[in-house]
Amino acid sequence: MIRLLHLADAHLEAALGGFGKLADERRSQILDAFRALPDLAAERAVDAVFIAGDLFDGPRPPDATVAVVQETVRRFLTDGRHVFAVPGNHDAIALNPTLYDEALPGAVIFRDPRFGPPASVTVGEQSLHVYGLAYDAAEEAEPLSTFRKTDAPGLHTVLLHGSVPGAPHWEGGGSLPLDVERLAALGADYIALGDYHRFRPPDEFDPPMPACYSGSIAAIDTSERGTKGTVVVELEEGTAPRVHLVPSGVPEVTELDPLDVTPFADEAAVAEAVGERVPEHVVPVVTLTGEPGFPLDVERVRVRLEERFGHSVVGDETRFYDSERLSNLASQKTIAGHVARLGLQRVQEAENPERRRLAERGLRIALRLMEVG
Amino acid sequence: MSTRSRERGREKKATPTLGKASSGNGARADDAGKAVRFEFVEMSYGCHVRRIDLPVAETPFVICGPNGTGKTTLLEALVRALFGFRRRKARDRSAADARRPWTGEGFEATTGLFGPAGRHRFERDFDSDEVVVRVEGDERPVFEGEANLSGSGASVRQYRALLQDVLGLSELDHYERTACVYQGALIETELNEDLLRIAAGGHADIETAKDALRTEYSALTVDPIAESESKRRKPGEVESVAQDVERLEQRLSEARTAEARRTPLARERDEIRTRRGATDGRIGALEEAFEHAAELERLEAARRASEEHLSQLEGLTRELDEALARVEILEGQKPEPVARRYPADFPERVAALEEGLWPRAQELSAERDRLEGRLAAVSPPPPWRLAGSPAVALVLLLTGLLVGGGSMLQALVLLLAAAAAAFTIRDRRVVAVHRRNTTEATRATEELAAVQERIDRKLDGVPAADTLTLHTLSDRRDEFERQRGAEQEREAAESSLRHVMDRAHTTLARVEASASKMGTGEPESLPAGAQVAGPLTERARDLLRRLHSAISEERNERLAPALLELRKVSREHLELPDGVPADVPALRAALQEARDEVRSLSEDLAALERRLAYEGRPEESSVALVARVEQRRGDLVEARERAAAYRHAFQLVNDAYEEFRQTDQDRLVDAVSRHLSSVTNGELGPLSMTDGLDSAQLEVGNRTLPLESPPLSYGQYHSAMFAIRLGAADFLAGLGVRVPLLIDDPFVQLDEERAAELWQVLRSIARQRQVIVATQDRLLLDYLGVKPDLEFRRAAGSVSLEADPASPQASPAPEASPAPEESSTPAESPAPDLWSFLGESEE
Repeated sequence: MIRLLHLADAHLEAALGGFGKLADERRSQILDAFRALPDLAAERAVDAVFIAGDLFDGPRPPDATVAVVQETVRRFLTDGRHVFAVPGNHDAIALNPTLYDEALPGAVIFRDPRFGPPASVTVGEQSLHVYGLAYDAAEEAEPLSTFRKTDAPGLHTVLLHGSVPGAPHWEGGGSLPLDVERLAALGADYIALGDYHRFRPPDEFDPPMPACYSGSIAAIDTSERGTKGTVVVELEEGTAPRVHLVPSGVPEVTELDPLDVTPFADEAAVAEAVGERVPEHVVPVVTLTGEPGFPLDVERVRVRLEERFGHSVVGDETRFYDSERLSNLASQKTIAGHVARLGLQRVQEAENPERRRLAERGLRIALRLMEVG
Repeated sequence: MSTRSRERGREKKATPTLGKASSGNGARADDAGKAVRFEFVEMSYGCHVRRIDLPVAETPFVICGPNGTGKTTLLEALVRALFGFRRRKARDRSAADARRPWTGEGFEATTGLFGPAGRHRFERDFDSDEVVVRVEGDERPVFEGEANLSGSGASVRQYRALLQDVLGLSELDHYERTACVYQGALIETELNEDLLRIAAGGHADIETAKDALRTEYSALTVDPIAESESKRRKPGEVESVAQDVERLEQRLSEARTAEARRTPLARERDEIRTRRGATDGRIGALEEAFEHAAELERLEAARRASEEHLSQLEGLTRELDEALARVEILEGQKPEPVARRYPADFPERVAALEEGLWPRAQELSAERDRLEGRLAAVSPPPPWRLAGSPAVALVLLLTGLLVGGGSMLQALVLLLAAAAAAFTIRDRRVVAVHRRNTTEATRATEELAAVQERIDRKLDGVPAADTLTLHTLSDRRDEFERQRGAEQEREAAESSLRHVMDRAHTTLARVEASASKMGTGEPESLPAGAQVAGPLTERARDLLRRLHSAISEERNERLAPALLELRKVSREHLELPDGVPADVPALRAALQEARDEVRSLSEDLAALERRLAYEGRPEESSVALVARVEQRRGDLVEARERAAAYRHAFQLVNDAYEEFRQTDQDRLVDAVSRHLSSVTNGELGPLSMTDGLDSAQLEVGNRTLPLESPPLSYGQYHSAMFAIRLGAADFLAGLGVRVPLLIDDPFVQLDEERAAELWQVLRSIARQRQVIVATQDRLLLDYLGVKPDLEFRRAAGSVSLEADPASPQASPAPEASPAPEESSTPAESPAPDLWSFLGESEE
């Protein structure tokens, strides 16, 4: 049996703009997670490491990051593991022809835009044949057609960075379009894929094929929910590959059920309620609903959550204008009452949902800054 | 004055006795909501470390005491227990320090409030600003936390909300500008926009809110928040993000442009690669053909050279052979004896003899002969005669002379002397001629000898010179010419032989060098051109042998192999690219052309590779950029939406304020008017306005008077001020809560009459809400017949208080003095008719 460590889409040095102030820390966490992979490889007795592209978010990462990758690859190699890599669409050969060579010295880099003969290594008594290519549409529009499987005995694996139908980059995005029928027709024992950031094991492919997306090491934006990490693959001739997703340890983006904020008195209580519903070390995503009795400032909730979790995504579907508190306020003959009354009137008279949202948001801001609540 | 206000004013005026018509405890009291009152204060505050109860009463709660006994401190403690100190304000920090308990107790106060919201107990620790609020019947505090009103956190907001519910207001400033009247502050009461804003704003300041809106909005965008606002210069978040988006879009566009350029460039590069590959193939074929053709040419050249060498060698062999034969033939002929050989310059010699020497010799010989003949013909006189003749002549002459005298003798003697002299002269002449002839003869002889010597030299080496004469000269010349012709023939033969030999040597050297260069044949043992020593013919024969050897070698070792190779490398096997003639120059030209094309294609390829590297290689990944652009566009939309929301909020506040200005000042005026009517039992009011609150005037009977004293009486003026404060307080409380009226030393500088008027006003107010009055004027209270509910006394450096023993207002004080007997409670002292206290109106 041969064990592989299959990883992809680390997107080292990604801007992580969706993570706000957490971006810098998260970048470090992702880099640390990558740096720790040799330990995982040792722990799982991995024979070879497959890097299926987009190791870097851009073609010109900082030298320090390249140095970390060099050191990590050196550790893999020193430990006697083979390293194979293909570039992705973010760090494509066409963008920087030397990046992978510089960052992964000693690794087998598939630089050609077409399939060539496999890189073959011996693992124990078995031969492992690895095919790969660096997709460049300008050089080869249909690289899958260039695949020629050799008759050599052993396990034949394919390393690709591309997108299957339904994945985000299937239409546009500069990824290699992977027709599943053709992919299945390659006849490989394992197809290590990168580009799609969600873990997709072989049993999710139709038609069935021994292909797997390892997903991103960690969520690169807050739309990537759930567990992220690397995949340990067990390959044996004549049997389907067995894949295990190993979490990277970088805080996950966790989506909560919508939270009804009606009972809460202020943003602190809302943030507290959110905090109670998720474990530590995650990036919570929550949508607030209900009728708050105060001019809920989502930004304040976000700030509170940020203090605890580093970052959060808070959606606002509350209906402050329906709250009893606001109705009471509007009945008062104070200027705050005037503001509330006129604001509610504008909410109700809004021509469309967009104007309605704007009117309600404006009302909340006005009341918040008048320190009503 | 607004229409609505006027209408209300007329309405009020139409019912001037509204207060009177009421039960006397305040007309339309319900409109003013329900009163909230302080029930007690337990404090460790300033000079007070005690509890004071404030019982329910419809008369003012009067605190009396000399200056410095803690009256104001007590009032302040009530207020501060609720509002605390604003730690961010220096004035409040100083005030807090001033009120820290002298005894070193904990700095704290607890007060009880009873009102529409229930019974609440506020416990404040001034040091920590921690507040615990409990409500009667509920064990758990309704509030517990930090309540420094300088803050804006959730805890503070919650506390504000609680205060608003319980007290009707949540800002100390608002209380102090309405129902909390510190010493001398009442007459500073103004009915103006500011008061309206405070009263109407409740716990919000409209300008503060607008400033906050401007501030937060300005962080978002440079656009003005409203048309009336100025545009900022410093870009806000919207502009920054928009610029960011623009930059990212530009970078994305560049990346996509580069990507779009990449495919055609790659295609073009591939085409050029293909063309170069084809041309490389053609070059290969051409090179092969060229090598083939060049080999053919080389072999043919070698053949030609070999043949030429053979031709030269054979020709030279023939020539040498002939020249040698000729020399040998000439050498084989009988040679002329040496004695018969004429010198080579024989013609020149005989020419010199013939033309000079021989004739000269004849001339000289004839001259000599002639002179010798002359000499032989005339003999010179003998010497004696030559010597005697002159002597004779001389003697005769002397004799003659001696004879003298003309005698014949003398003449004869003289004659004889003359004859002797003549004879002597003749002899002398003969001798001279002889001598000259002899000399000439000698010279001729000598010259003849010299000529003869030269003739002899000319004839030296000439065979049979003695027979050479002018007559034999012609034959001799012929003989000489014969001899010379034979010699010249031999020399010519030898010269020809040498010449041929030289050429043979040169040719041999060239051939041998060529053979050596071609790698065939052994190098010549002798240096090229070196000649074997020995007679010419021998050397020639040796050379001839070498020539034969060279011919053999050339034929066998060079020409024959070349011919053999030529047969192998046949033109028939030459494969030529289309259109290329089968000759080396043409192939060379075609090859050069193809190589030029490859060079040109390589240059094009390199240029394309460079363009691919620079133009077709984006600096960044468009995919990554798309994600970032989308992210930032989302940020931009959000920032714009926030900015729009802020504009909306600003507009909302502005519009609400405008609406408020249009309606609420009327309502404030109404509230004040109601209090005026209530306090003065309908004597004063309503207020009327012509142009905003600043222009408010008071209607007194059928007169409209400004809010000033005079023309208002002092009691009227104070009633109006109280009405304004209470109206604003009610307005502030949203007409839901009537806050207690706290008034510190209201009687200062009032004479008894005016003080009585004011007291009646306060009593009137006390029917509607709690009134707590502090005063130091014990005498005035006595004059008014008012018994203080609480009396502080200064005793032995400390402060003590005294309360009515009948009521539990204050905890037992160590040095409390008994309270006066007179009570100000309604039960003890019914409220007089207000009409009797309004002096000027009374008239």
